[in-house]
Amino acid sequence: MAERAVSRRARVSTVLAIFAAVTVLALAGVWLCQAQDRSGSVSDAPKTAAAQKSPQPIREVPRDTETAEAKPQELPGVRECGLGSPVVEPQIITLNCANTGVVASGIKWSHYGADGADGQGVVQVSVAANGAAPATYPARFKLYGARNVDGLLAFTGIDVDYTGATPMGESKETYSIA
Amino acid sequence: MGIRGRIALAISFVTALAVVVLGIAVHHIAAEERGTQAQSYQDALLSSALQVYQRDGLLALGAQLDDSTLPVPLAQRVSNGKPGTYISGGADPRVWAATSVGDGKVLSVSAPYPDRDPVQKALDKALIVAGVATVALMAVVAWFVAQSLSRRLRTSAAAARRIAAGAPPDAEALAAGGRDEVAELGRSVHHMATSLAARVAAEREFTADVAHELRTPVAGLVASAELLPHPRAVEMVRERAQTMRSLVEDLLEVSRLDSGVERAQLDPVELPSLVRGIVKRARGQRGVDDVAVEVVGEGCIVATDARRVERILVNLLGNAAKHGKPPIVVRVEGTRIVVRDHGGGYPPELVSQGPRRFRTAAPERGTGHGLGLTIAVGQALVLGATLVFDTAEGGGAEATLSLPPAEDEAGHSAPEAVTVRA
Repeated sequence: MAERAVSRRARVSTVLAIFAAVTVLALAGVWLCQAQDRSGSVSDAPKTAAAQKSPQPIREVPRDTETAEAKPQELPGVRECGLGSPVVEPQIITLNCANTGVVASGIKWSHYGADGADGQGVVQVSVAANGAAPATYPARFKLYGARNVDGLLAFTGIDVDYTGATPMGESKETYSIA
Repeated sequence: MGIRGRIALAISFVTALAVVVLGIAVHHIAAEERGTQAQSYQDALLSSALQVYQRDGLLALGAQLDDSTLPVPLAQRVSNGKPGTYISGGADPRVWAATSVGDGKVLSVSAPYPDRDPVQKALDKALIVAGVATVALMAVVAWFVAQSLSRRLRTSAAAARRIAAGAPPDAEALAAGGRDEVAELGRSVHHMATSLAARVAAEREFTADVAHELRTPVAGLVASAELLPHPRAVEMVRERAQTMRSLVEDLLEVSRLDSGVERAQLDPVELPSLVRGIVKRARGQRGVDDVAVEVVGEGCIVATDARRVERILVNLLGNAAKHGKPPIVVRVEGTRIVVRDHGGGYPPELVSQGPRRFRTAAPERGTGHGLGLTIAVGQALVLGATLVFDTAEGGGAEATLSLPPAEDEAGHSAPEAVTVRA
């Protein structure tokens, strides 16, 4: 009797083990299939959606040059690749105007004055070889060389100091703007 | 394959299975994370490109306006006014991000998304190397674990073999500490061996008691038979009484041999002369009649107990005369004495397991108590000799008694069962 009970218990354990193994395999298969389905579907773009809904505020430098020179408290701006009006405290600056492939983005200014400006953000580079490689690099920015350009007060250079990984291997870069 | 190999193989197999499943899961999760990151990067780039475009009308960060190669699923989503990201397959797999910028125009960025990413390849390589190393390491560990388990089982098996050979139960070897199954098995075998040993001891004691208790009445019976008046009745009663006394004497001898108190008295003797004398005295007893003695080579001097050798040979000759067929040949070769008859040979059970008391196991070899050969084996053990039962070439039973060589020939290797007296 005892042997028969032990044998029955062993059979039940075997059946349970087989059931558990089959269940795990089935769940793994479902997971793999779902993952494959996800790779062929369109996903959200939350950052782009946010930028689309709330464009950044643009504050331009006044056109009155004489007034600006007469009033040193007026702040210089940043001209995007020498085009348009200078923008004060811009959140985004195109660094490499030759191919527009390098952009300083999400800048938060800790100091912004006529003598210069300091802020933090990320440098974005257009990915050429591998879309899975990092495309953003945290950096500190320093605007300098404010002068009158085409009658508008604007900064003429920007120093980029990377705080982490660098896109080109250099931890510091300088770009001419305006 | 032994238990060590099986355990090591089972653990290695399970480890390999776990490594493969884990490797596939890690590879899959890494690939999925790579896709998610790539889409997130493109989303961030498109976000910045959108801001530049909205502010200056420039196409920054490689952004394109109304790219004709934009994948259809992504274009459909953007046409609904929702920005999105997408990974396209085909010959040129790319990761995309696109959004509408008004007037039916679509701003998009994209980057190559190779199937074989170097980081992914490095991860796969690391997974394979780590997996193989883990399986190899686990195989070694499993081997040592199984070795430990197997060693304990082998120790128990060796102890059981020693008990089977006549040694007393070894509590230390069998009832080792621990609470696992191996320790439980050892304890069970120890209990079984102790129980069997107690039973065997009780049987030996019973045999000795019976023999001792029978001896006195049988002796009285023999003496009383002398007083009977009829000569034929006297002869019959005396014959039966003698047989019974012989059986009792054999039982007593078996009992003494079982108790292990018997000691050999060794003296140097020339073996051919000893054998010839024994055969000469044995003729006419127990039906021993047609016996020839052959000596091969020169006669050898051995240190042995002549009385016990005679007891062995007489029992072998008696067995051959009673159960075999003549002629009986006793051959002396060095320190070996071979007794052969031309009957049907020993039973297979006797050849393989040795003689057992009160079991003849062969009706064709006639009736008997099975004590003669049992006593012969016991006496050979006391002499430190070996007694082997076999079937002779051409048929017939053949018993070979191998005596140990004399001390000056064999050095100082006296057998354990023999005590040499000066």
